[in-house]
Amino acid sequence: MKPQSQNGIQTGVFLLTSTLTLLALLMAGVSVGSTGVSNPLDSIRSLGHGGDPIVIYRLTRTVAAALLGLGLSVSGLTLQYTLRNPMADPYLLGVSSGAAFGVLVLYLFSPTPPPTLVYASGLLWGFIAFLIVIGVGGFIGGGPTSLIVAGVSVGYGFFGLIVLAMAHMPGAQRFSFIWLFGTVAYVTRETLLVTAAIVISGTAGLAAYSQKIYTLILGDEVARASGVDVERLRLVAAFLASSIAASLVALAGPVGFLGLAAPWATRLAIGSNYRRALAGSMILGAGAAVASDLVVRLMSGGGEIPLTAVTALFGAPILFYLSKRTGW
Amino acid sequence: MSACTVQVKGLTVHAGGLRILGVEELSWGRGMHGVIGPNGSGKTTLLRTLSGVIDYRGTVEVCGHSPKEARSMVSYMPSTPVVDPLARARDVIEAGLYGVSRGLDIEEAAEILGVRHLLDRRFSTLSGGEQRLVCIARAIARRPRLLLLDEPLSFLDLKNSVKVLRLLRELSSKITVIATSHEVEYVSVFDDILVLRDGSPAYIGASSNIPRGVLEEVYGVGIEELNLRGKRVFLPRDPFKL
Repeated sequence: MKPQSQNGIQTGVFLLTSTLTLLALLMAGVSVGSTGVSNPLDSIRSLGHGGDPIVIYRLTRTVAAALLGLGLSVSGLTLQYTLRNPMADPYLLGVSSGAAFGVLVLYLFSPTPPPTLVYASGLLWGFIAFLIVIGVGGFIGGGPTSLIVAGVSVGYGFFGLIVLAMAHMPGAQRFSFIWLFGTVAYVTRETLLVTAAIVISGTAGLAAYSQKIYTLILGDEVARASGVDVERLRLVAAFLASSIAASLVALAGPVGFLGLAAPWATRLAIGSNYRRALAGSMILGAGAAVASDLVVRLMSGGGEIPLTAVTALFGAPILFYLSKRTGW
Repeated sequence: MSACTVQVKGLTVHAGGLRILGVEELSWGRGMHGVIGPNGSGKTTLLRTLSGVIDYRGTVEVCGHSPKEARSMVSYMPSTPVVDPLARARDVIEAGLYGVSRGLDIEEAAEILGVRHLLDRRFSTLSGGEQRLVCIARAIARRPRLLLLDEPLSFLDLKNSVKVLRLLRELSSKITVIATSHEVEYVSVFDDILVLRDGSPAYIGASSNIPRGVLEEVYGVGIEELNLRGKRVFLPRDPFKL
């Protein structure tokens, strides 16, 4: 068998398996909840007749979780390419914390800030955080490790500001606490649609640049010699990746690990062709997020627990394993 | 694939206010051309200029275009590969095909350099020599009209050095190959050479005509000249008998 076809088969098997798993998880998503388990076919059928409110709630929540995992993976994967750093991820690079600050700070001024402002502020502060991280990372050395150190430090900085903001928000602490560690429990159809529009258009934009982004794995010099305007591409790709991550923060709060683990696992399984890795990470990330939310639902009983509790518990050992396997 | 002429007139390159390269005139067409000189003499700067990745003053024409416009016809391999730690050898060759409409098959390019069995390995886990071979495979897969290789033989063992030299010789009958080397031993493998010292040419011409004294002066060490079957070969004099 030629290695080329073997490589194609490997990619095909990976994409097919993860798609089927995702479909099964989506079915489970509309059928499983703290109120019990229903037949997924009944759930889907009920949607045709106006819909059982519980099923509609579960559907919204499941779609939100899938969008969250999909978007975070796209964002993480893209940041890994643009910064040529396998540890890049919107959470570790402080983008999520910056966006979370941008969202939360509005609640200091009004209990119900207009949604447009929430998104605009989240996007703005997510990108500001990213630029600060790039600046600080360059200042302290510029290497892959400096960038992560900068990301974690800036993330902590914003976290401090978030805690300060929360301390001045009487009555809203419990919701803020859960939101701060990610949740799809309070997603509304409107926010879901706005976020979906940003995530889908951002991903489509990145897909259009996929051949150029792929060259970044060869270093700036070779990418440039191949005809790519590296600085412009990096700015556009990082902007789209940060916007996707920030819009997801506005939807569901900051969630860790998904943006890092799904792209890594995909790239180890099917290689680093950006277009293929993008497709693979999207499916794998969506599946991981829906699975995480299912675990949350089963663990939470009556109350809610944040998503990061689950993604971190499962993500930490997975990351450990991937890091060991790749020597990173 | 056809040859591509490189024309340089009044070229200067500056970095941090210092002139790091100045070449008054250079015109190279099809064949195998070497840029020789000690560390820091401007070899890489010349290759980077021709590949269109740095700014310069003067006139530089590559295949009848400016270096930036000619990029789809050119392959450039830097001396030190900078590759994403998760990328496989296959990805390196594939990603390198950007901007090229009729490149070689990934397998075909890898086969030529004898690295087909390494395609699914992560690039960062390969040895220095294997990485070099993959990078050369990436460069030739673009089927360039001008091939720019910075230190293509470093990290290669004798067998692979011979393999790469044979490949470059074969390619140079159709295209323009320019490679750098900091070692005098390789002077005789090139048709023409440019010897650089502190960013300026100390010699431009056929490699067969270079005076030994120029090499001794540029490198600042004694150099022996041998005649092997009609070919002049240079070797550093025994370093313990300076």
